[in-house]
Amino acid sequence: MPPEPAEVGVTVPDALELLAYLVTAADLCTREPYHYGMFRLLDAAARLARGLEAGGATFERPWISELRQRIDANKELLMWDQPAFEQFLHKTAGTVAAELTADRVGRV
Amino acid sequence: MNEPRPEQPDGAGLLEAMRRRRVTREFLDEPVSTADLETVIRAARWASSAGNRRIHRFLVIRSLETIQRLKPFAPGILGNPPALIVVSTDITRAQAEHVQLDRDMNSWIDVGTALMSMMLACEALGLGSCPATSFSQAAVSRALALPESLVPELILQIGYPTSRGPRRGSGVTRPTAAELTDWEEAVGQREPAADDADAPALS
Repeated sequence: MPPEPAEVGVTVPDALELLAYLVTAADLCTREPYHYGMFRLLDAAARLARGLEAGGATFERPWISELRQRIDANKELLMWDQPAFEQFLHKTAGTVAAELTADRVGRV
Repeated sequence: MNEPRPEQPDGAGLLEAMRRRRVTREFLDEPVSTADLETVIRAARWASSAGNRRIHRFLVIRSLETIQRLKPFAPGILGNPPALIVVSTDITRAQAEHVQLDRDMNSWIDVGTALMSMMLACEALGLGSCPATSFSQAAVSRALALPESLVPELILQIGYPTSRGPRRGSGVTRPTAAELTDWEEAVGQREPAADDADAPALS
């Protein structure tokens, strides 16, 4: 049985953790190399996806888990292959857009 | 006639540990013993310190609850380390030692010397380690309830690595020591000249 829509989503503790991460990442952008900001945003996306997985949102959207796994596997490309990292960013944005466009359950 | 040199400690082992060490970002779910952490802290104490002023403090954290609480404010902690050592500047001690923290670079250099000693100690103990400076000093101070006299400068993550095999990125080409070094005269980046053959061989 798929979870009821009201049961699907990120918990308040997960959301607060993400909130803390995002404000800290924004603060770090003031002093760290500019491309670290891309990494932090991507890592935040993986954290959000992890929260959605835990909240049952992937029952109808398995692509969220796949996306999170791909991010975890590729995010450290930044450290040794920045062009490949940037290619991954471009591709990931396209993937999410394609999934949400085809998503009949979502609002996008 | 030169005096004979005293017998060297395990120099080859030390050099090999320096060559082999890499940062570890993913750790096994296995605690680090108190004895090992004490060894790592001793290594920090053995590190050079400008003027032997010792203005840094080391806070060992093994509580997984505390580590989890800290992580959102420390994006540099990517995995789940079972232990952390937070290196802080002790402002009270710095003032007593007449250190001008706003203009004295040695304070940060001392963090670096302690860090490298600790990471090499970890390597010698079979532990992985990873330094993190990507954190909010204000948030980490609050989350750890640090006294106002302590300013967190660096967090060293410690634990057993998930993999002992080749690390990701280990095939990346890095500058050789020769490419990073000039001899007698700083000439910056350039192609090695033929007469560089006399320079000591580095790799």
